[in-house]
Amino acid sequence: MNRLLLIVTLCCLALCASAREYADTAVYQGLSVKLDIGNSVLELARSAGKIQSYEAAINVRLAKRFYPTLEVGYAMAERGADGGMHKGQGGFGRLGMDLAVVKKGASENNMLVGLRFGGAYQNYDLTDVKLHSEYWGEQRLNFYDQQRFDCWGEIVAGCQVQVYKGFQMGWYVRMKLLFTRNAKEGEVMPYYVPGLGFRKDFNWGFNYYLAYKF
Amino acid sequence: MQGNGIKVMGLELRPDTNLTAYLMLYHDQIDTLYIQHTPRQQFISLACGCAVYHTITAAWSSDPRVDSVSIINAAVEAIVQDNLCIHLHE
Repeated sequence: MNRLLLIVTLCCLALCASAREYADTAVYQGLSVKLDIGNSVLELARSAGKIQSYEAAINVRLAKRFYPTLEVGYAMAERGADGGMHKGQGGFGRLGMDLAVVKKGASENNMLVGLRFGGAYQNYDLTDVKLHSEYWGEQRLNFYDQQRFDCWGEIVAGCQVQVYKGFQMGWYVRMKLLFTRNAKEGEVMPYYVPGLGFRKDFNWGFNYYLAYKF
Repeated sequence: MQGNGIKVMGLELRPDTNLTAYLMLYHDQIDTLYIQHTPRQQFISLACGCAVYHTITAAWSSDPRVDSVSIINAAVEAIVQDNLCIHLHE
């Protein structure tokens, strides 16, 4: 245990030592690696552990104001309702750009607004799905080993603040608009989409990040 | 239906196969109406389950009194919808 603590402490010190200052005139102002905590905890709490979503992000600060961003993640969901069950897992990614709302010289603390384009590929099973017919009665259907790619757009707003040396934290609120709304012939659409949440045309999301700037 | 007192009848297609047959009792004789169709399940939600839409590919009858069965709308996407027209011999 003590050895682990020592390793973690040394890593933190090494990271602090590697935090760099950039000249005011430089276009490249550093790269931040972010680990999401907010959405992971929120999904776990809301679903009583049935949905797990993990994500990390990288953004680059350019000309003190522009933040090209890449976010990647992985999600697993097992959710039932009225006998039906969705069980799926897959990866997702988002690519986009944030803009600092207030241009405050060399300050690392910023309110951000931005756009994202997201995509997710997942494997899923839908089992015991109800099919009700007034005349023929109720049947239950199973759809195994389904695969699907979904994509969506996001408008994001949030902030990124410097806590101590290179350490940062921040949050995002996301408004998500699903683009892939139709199923192909014979395809059964999933109940949950990694990175988007429950499949709706409009959805909301929240992230709370801990980050380190190199 | 044409050539009979009955103008309209509602028949529900089977959601799990691509052939639905209805036996019709007509003046103590049993006739069979066959409808060949392609069911397409549309998942709505886990709570609501699936809705089923069909595309009718063929329709015919075993009854010699039926002149023809024509498809007037192959896409079955609503509960109340005119899809087939059954012409009877006069």
